[in-house]
Amino acid sequence: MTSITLKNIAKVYEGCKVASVEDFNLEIGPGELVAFLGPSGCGKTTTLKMIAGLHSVTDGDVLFNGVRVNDVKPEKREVVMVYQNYLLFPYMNVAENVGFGLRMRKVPKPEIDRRVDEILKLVKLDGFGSRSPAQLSGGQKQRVALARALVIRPKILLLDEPLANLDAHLRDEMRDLILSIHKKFEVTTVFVTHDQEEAVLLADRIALIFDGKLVQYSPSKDFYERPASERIARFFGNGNIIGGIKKGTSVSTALGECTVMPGLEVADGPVSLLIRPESIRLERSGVNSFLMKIQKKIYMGTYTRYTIQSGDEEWNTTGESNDAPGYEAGDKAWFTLPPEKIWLIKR
Amino acid sequence: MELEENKANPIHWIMYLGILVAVISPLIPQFVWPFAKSWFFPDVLPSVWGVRAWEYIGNPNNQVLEAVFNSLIIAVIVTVISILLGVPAGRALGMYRFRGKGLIELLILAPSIIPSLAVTMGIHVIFIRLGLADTMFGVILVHLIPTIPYMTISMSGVFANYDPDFEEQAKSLGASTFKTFFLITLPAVFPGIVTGAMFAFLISWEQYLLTVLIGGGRVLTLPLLLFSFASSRDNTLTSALSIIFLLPAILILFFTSKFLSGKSSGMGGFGNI
Repeated sequence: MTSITLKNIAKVYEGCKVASVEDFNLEIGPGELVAFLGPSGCGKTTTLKMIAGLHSVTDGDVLFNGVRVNDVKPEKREVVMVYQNYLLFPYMNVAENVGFGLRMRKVPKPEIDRRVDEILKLVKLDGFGSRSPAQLSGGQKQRVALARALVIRPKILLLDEPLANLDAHLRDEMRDLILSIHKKFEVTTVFVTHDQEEAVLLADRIALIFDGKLVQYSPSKDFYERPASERIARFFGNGNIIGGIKKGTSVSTALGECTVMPGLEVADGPVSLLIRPESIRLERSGVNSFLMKIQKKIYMGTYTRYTIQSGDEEWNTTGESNDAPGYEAGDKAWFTLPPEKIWLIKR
Repeated sequence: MELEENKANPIHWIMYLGILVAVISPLIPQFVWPFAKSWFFPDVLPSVWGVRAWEYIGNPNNQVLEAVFNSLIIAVIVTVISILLGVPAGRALGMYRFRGKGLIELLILAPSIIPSLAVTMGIHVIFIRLGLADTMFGVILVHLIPTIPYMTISMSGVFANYDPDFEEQAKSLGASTFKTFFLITLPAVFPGIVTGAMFAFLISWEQYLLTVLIGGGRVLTLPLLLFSFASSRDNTLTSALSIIFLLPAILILFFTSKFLSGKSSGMGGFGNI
């Protein structure tokens, strides 16, 4: 298994004044499954290609297992990239596509055939070897691309938007396949996505990238509960943010005084108070309970979303179907912000 | 409705036939004349048949074989050079954005826009100074003026539709730069290269003006010979020569329609014949 270290890497494209990736530091453990998450154009694919060696680094070092590989050519790195649009070679059939990497390694023909059959079975495409890529569906193409990458037993597997082009039901299937492959081959895997849900579904850890800079690198749970900034919170659909002044375990906001947990590592002074919609409870309790007017009610199937107004900010809260007392828009209701669910960010 | 449209429509058949007659009928006498010894109005077919033209062509003293050979050599060399220069240039124009690209595209098109007579007069003066006038090498160089732009522009269209990520994918699977080119890039653009090359060949094969100006009559090619026979009003010989002259074009027409139509790169020959 291979670890990846990115040390202060930067990429400046020729003719560009602004760096696409800047001062990027990251440590990916052996056998880990990591997501590069960020809006499009943030530099995540560029970083992926620098790991693959397809783009050179302008500055900094790429290390595999502690060994600098900056000058190792892509074809010698044992790193395979699977592209978003699969890129199956059109004038080769499925078996020839999958065996391509083995042929490049001068593996004897009978062994190529054996390993290609084996891997096609694994991705549930046995018997598809003689088909042409044009005869395959999107999901099948993706599985061929994955098989083509895995058959050479790469040290590192790189996936560019692996679930982006698939229908909802195929996404689940593909996610399970990627997870099982990752477990079976124990290959260090990095994938790129702009969809936070996709990142959370697959990755052990998420590297969140904004404007070519790594802004947070932690297990996916932390992005929901402990985002490092307001922008990160919003990117993860955590829109309930209110400004306030912290003093000890109390924050004074437009809603009123809120009690927060003692151990939060934020100094007294101006702060942003965050709480996820599903953490707000629709009931009256001893602390942090406020009587507010419901602006909007949206039935979402498994839950109901209420929108309440606080100052300029619209707040969303969800009441689970069984405990929602059936409020209507215009009603006044009690909302409780449990102190243990409140997260503070310095302003 | 749909079914009816698929049925053979008599009006369509009449139109096809009309086009066929319009294209082929002028060629019919061309194929009869070489075998005529005497053929006068109002006879439909020659009164006396003969193979004088073919005997003349086959005789090595009469320069015809030499002219065919010269034309062939020049056209092949011109085609090879056009491929070697036009393919990389087409790739650069089709795939990359760079400063001054618009100007370069204009300069490439310039020889096709400016009348070749004007260009060639200027070139002639320079070629005389360089000792290139009246030489086969000079003729090859001047034939490249129309063929390289042709090759470059048609290849830039091919490369504009080509996804360079395929090359990255091959490299990431372990293919060297050399293998990537031969296994990935070349098959993708090959139909485009073949089509471009065949037209470059034809442009050179059919070239009269540039050859006569730069070759100065010393470099004898088939079109030159054809013109001189045509102006001497020897229909038998002219027709026989023009059959040889037509041969590559007909072969290329069949080749493109048989092997390239419907294949990748959007270079589809002339449909299925």
